[in-house]
Amino acid sequence: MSNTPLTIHSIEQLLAQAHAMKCESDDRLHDLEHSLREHHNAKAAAVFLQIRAWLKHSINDIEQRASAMTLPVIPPWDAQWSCAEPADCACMEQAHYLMSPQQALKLTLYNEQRFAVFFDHQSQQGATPAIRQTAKELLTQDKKLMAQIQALQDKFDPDDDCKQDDFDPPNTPE
Amino acid sequence: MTLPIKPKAYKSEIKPVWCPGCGHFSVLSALTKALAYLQIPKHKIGFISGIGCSSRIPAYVNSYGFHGIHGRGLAMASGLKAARPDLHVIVAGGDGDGFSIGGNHFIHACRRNMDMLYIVMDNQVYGMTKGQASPTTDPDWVNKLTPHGSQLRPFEPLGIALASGASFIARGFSGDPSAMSKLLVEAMEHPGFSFVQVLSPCKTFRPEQVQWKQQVHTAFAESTDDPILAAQRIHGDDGMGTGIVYQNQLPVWSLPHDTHEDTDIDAIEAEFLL
Repeated sequence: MSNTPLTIHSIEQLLAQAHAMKCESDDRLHDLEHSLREHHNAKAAAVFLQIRAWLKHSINDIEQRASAMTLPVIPPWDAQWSCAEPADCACMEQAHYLMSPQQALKLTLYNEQRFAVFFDHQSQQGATPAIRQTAKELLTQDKKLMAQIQALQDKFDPDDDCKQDDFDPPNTPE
Repeated sequence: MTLPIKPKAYKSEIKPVWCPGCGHFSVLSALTKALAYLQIPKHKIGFISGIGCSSRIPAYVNSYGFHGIHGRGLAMASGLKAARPDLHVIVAGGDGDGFSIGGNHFIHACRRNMDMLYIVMDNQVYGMTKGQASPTTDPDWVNKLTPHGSQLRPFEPLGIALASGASFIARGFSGDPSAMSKLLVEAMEHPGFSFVQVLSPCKTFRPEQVQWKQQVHTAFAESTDDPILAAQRIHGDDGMGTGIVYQNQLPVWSLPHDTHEDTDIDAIEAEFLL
């Protein structure tokens, strides 16, 4: 992430943003997973399905932490991540109907790393010790998710970056 | 945990079939966020479209909608708004649908200035029919179907909208969905015809548009109600500038108040039904 995220001033604000980001990510990955299936790329779709299952744990955890709170409504343009897109959803334009599982994992790992940068910043710069502690715990959880993605990467050929044969190629210039 | 209506509630059960990496996913996301921000009741939304990849969007939104015929989204929407002024009417389509076959409807929808939002997801190509040049395609874009390029000057949507009388004219970018959400909120709050051109890359037929993320820039930080200044902005624009170019309070067309009261549905049915 090129821009530094801004400082969060309450636990509610932190959880609201974390919840918004994770839900947005889940939603976008759901769309992508479905779209890949429609384009007959079941392997990459399966990767996103797996990552969504892991994401659900993070979402449930945030919702549990916020169970006794009223979270603020933060319009997307007032979000504190200081980049064009929520960290978990950046670079979706890198997806392609011929993408390999390895490419799918690289894309999600990159987005999770951006997400970790957000939590890392809040764990150091959050306005109160409680915010910093919560951010630290969420960062730990995010690192666990990243480790899961990396472990899954090991199951696929690391050089599997080349696109598959396209049996119905678009009419792009030759 | 108390949460308001989430953006996801505005998404239907039907999942998009757009290509992975398509910019339209972000438009859908930004639109549902804008609707959630405004908390517009789903049954008060009439979502109309024409034909094309982008025109599939009403199916993906949990509201009333109509996926119509090519280029006629604005004509249908105008009829809907005239008959049901209480609805929030949203129209969506692509550059081919809106500026080619629907070009005439675009001009007159701007001129009528009815209270509706028109989103054009502009990827400068006919994607659904496998990549023909559209009205906004650069003249030198070469592919198998136009081996020498179209050699035609691209249509200028913002300029045409201004000249035709649209009262809200803006450009957004699918790669910046947060800013786009804000644009859409402002467009929906504006009384009159709100036109939002969204630069939305086509990953499959225009893969080079991935570079738009580096080229797009905020050009119109503040809107103007001066059409001459707006014209100058548009003229000096490189096609990649985002923001509200022009916003003005102009007379909004609607049916006279007594028209609905005088309408005798039974008489109309008797006259026209076989």
